[in-house]
Amino acid sequence: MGGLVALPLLGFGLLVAGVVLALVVQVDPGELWSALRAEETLFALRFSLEVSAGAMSAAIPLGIASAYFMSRRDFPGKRLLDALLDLPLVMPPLIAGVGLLFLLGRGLLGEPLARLGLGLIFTPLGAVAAQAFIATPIIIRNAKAAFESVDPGFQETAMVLGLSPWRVFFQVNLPLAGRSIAAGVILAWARTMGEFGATLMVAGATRLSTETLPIAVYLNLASGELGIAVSCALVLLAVCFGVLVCLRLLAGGRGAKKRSLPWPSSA
Amino acid sequence: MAELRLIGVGNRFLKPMDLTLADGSLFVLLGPSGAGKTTLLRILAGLAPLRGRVLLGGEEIGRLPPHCRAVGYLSQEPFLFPHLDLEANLDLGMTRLGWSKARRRERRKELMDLLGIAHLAGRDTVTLSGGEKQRVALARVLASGPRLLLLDEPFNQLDFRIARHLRAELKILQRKLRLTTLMVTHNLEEARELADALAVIQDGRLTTEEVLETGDQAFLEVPNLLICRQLRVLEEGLLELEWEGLRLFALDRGRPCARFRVQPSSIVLGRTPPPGPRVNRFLGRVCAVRVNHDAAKVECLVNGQKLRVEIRRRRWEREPLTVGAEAHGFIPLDCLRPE
Repeated sequence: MGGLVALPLLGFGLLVAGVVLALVVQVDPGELWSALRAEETLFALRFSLEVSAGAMSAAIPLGIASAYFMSRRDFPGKRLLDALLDLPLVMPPLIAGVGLLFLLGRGLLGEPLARLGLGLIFTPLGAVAAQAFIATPIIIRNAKAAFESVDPGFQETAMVLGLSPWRVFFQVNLPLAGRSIAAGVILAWARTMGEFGATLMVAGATRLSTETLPIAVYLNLASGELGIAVSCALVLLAVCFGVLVCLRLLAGGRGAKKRSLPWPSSA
Repeated sequence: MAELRLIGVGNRFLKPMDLTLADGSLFVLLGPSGAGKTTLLRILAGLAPLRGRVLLGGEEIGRLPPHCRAVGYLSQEPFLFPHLDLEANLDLGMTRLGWSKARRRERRKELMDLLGIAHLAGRDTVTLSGGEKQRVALARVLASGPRLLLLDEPFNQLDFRIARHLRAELKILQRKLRLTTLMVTHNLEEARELADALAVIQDGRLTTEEVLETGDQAFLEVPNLLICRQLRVLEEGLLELEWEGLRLFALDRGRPCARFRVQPSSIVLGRTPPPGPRVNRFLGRVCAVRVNHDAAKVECLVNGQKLRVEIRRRRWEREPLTVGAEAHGFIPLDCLRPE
């Protein structure tokens, strides 16, 4: 019984390994190595890291503050707002990008922002805005669940002990919800690193200017530069794998016990 | 001077009430679950909205936010912060006072000695026993320098021997510190043991002490009376009993007894078998349920006999029971007390 159930798992595991292998064997090792060190690959990696860092520095405070408010207060229209905040999670990124383009381009906010010297469309700042838009709801969702899982008794105890609302947040609620919030932040960051649709629409796809790793893959596949496309894809895969390892570590090895349980039939 | 005066204090659940606590006294408010005891304490701590005036040492504190009131509140659950060790928990209590590190360390040591928890220094709070946690929580409340101490049935969830011991300690401590204290309980024995002065609260309304004197206690938590047959005395200090076809174990208190009391709030009842030892368990059927904002009162039919069970609201919301449903129960053996 155990062996039979393991077959689909084995099949899918082979498929995942096959996808990674197919990428690796597309180009010979020498070409891959030089592509990994090419100026364009390095630029795309650096640009992706910078843009995602910028996006996260906006998304983390925005997401955590929104989640804290949503988890602690009741107000009219809360459910509607909750659903609205989830919309970017289910919205195709391309559509989100089109919406942002119209809003930040010639739309409501475009001209006032341009007057402030904040040109977003087809600029690196636009990529930051697009990625922050995608990452924030992921953080809100995780952080809200994390705050809600903290017994309100801890907060009340801290308040009566004499902690101001800010101290209650930083010294009690945030540490108690910290692990789950960190998991949400890592997920959101991985999502920004792989973000393509919204970034493409808002920041464009200009080589060595607004070229993130996914955009580098897209541009180089389109122009037949397989080496750089594959090397950028592998860098992205490595980042994703690193994120998964971090998430496992944050889970504190709680899954290990479950994996070691025997099948009922073999007990 | 920290005399507490409540003038027309109430809210949606509480009728306006007037009450005065003398400086340094221990006042006990007695009442059944759902009477409004916890609501009153939450109002005084600033955790619930209020109508009326609250004067502490002549100063109006009713409009102050909770962190500015200098009121200590100890609830049934100790709520020790699990991300901090014991000392850091006590330190957090002293935040409002803005003391230097050295002064905090000195005060921490004083309190740990006073509460008898010095041997727990450096311990992770999640490893402490129920009684130890409640002691640490009390030390933390005292560390915050309160002018008024509010105690919400702080010994309710403890083994009765530990609770009795802690009650005696609390009385001595309160006398020593001369801290104005308001404690609520549904336990008449506890109230009489501790109170300098006493009042009764029922249906959100204060009634007079005369109620107690007349012996009319029908509104308090009525214990279940189990008429048992004693089978044998076990070597481990236990009695083996038979009640309505069920085998039960109770602590041997050195005298033969056939009538045992069990407080409704001591019985564990749920949809699934409770964790823990496989003794003193029963399977019953829910025959009546009454839920108020504080607790659910359930009547459960066990082999033809009715058992009254009280389930705290928070637990009830996690696992409600419907009339007619099967329910698994457990009577902790130290809660079976001879009549």
